[in-house]
Amino acid sequence: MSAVVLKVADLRVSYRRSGGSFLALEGVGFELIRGQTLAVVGESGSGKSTLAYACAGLLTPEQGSVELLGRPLARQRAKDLRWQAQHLQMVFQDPVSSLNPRQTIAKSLAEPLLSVAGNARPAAAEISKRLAELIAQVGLRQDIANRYPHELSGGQCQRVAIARALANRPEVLICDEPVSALDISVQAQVINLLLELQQKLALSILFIAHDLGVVRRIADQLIVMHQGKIVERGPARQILSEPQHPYTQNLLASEAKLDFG
Amino acid sequence: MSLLEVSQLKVSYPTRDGVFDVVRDLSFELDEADSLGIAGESGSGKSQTALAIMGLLPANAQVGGSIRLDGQELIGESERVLDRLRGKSLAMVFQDPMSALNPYMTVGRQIGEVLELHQGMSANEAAKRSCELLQMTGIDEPGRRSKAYPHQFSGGQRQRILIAMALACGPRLLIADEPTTALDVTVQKKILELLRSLCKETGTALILISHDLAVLSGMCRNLMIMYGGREMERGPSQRVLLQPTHPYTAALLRTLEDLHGGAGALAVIPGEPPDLRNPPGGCPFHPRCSEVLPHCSKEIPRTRPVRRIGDKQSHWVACHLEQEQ
Repeated sequence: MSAVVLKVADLRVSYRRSGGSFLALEGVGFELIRGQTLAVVGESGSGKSTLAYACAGLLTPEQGSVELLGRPLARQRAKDLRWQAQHLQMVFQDPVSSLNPRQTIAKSLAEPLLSVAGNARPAAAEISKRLAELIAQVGLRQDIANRYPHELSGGQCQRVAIARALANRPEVLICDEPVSALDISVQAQVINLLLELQQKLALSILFIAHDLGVVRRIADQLIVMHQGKIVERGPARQILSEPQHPYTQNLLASEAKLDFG
Repeated sequence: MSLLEVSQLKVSYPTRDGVFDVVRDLSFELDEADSLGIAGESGSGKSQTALAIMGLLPANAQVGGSIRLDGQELIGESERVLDRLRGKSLAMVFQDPMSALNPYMTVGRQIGEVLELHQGMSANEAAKRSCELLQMTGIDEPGRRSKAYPHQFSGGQRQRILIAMALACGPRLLIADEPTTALDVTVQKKILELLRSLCKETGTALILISHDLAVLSGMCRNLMIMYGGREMERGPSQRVLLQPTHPYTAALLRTLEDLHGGAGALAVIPGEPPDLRNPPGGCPFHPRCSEVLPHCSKEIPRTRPVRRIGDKQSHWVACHLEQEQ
């Protein structure tokens, strides 16, 4: 089995807007290695979320290719979509709006189990066993299953969103700013959870972030994006200690740090 | 007398399920041209405190205690009086500059309106002064740009425009509530520098509110740490950061420092921020506190000066632990 789980080559995406088009991504390519975390850092408008959507097949690039486990993403047939959903899942920034407010947590968590099964619907007992596993895996109490999203805190909702993404044991997880909407004390908990799950489940993670702070602990490889292009890439530790591109240097220098006077 | 004196401030909301207190027993002072950073997580009551000072709380909010500006009591004051104070003596910069600006009005007109209303300027004078203010906050070609609409500016520029508007009448106190949270880090740095230099130049007192201690540490002479609607710790910034006395402050600092260095799992504060609908008894932080004492869950700790020998600095903490020592 190849070590590359997600391969992106020469991606180009542009959005139509009044009076022409806006080039959101150009010439972007990378490889995500099994069991590693690749972080994509950039400010608003850098194209990082567009990149995440293209990798998840949520938008079709004008040019370039995305290969998941050696297969190019194809969005035409239901069979392809099911296959893809089993191997790649996404966690979004806003945990509350990524859950259906009218469904209990148990129902939200069971949905992916049913949707990839096609006609071979799993037995109720099997589903409830897997639900219990998932809830325990993300460090929540079992009684959360019968609650609704509005009864949970933001951190708890993000844990549910992670559990839901992991329901079908995907190889690749795309996390688009998964902790930006959370309080600092809760951010660290969710990062630790992702680190722990990655080790336990050998997950490969594409981690999108706007700041370098959260990336420090989680990233093996790092890509810095600016205006739709990659300006710097390499091992995260190396870039964070010796940034080469002026933009990365500026990004690092602009980070708010504790000032003890 | 201090410029701002807040004493025993309480903000609560009546609902079908009872009355929820979002700010309780909050007291602090701010001197002329001084700066105070208020740090807290969501639900800590930091924004409610800002809105209470501005008199901008929703109509169903119940406010108790006292807020005095230059000795004048603001709680219970009429809208007419508050309208004269807001803009002239008190000004506020909000988190989201787009929704704080009127999308149908040129930015020059919006700034000019404040000047005409509070300083009785003519339309021409106000237009001229608007350009000067835009220039002061770093907007290039202010003459041309003052005729543009909010959507024609970037997020950082919009925040500059809001700062220009807030400082238009030379207020005594500026409250900035998470002014850079919606901005990119490179822009955040520039906006914070602008705020600091303008407040210094004009002698405006600043209350800066943020969830990020790192942002506050370089900007404010004093710090107040809030949690669950209460003040946990308050004092000179360097003192609070170097000798944190409340376990919550210490834990927050550990989390922050760990985020910037170290390896392996991150230091965390276990648990979740308190649910205001069902707050814990006693100290709001006790369910997550690593140094919790038996009576922390029963008794609310009073705010006391931190006792250190030969120490005249005003460093306050609300923690039973300090009392035990």
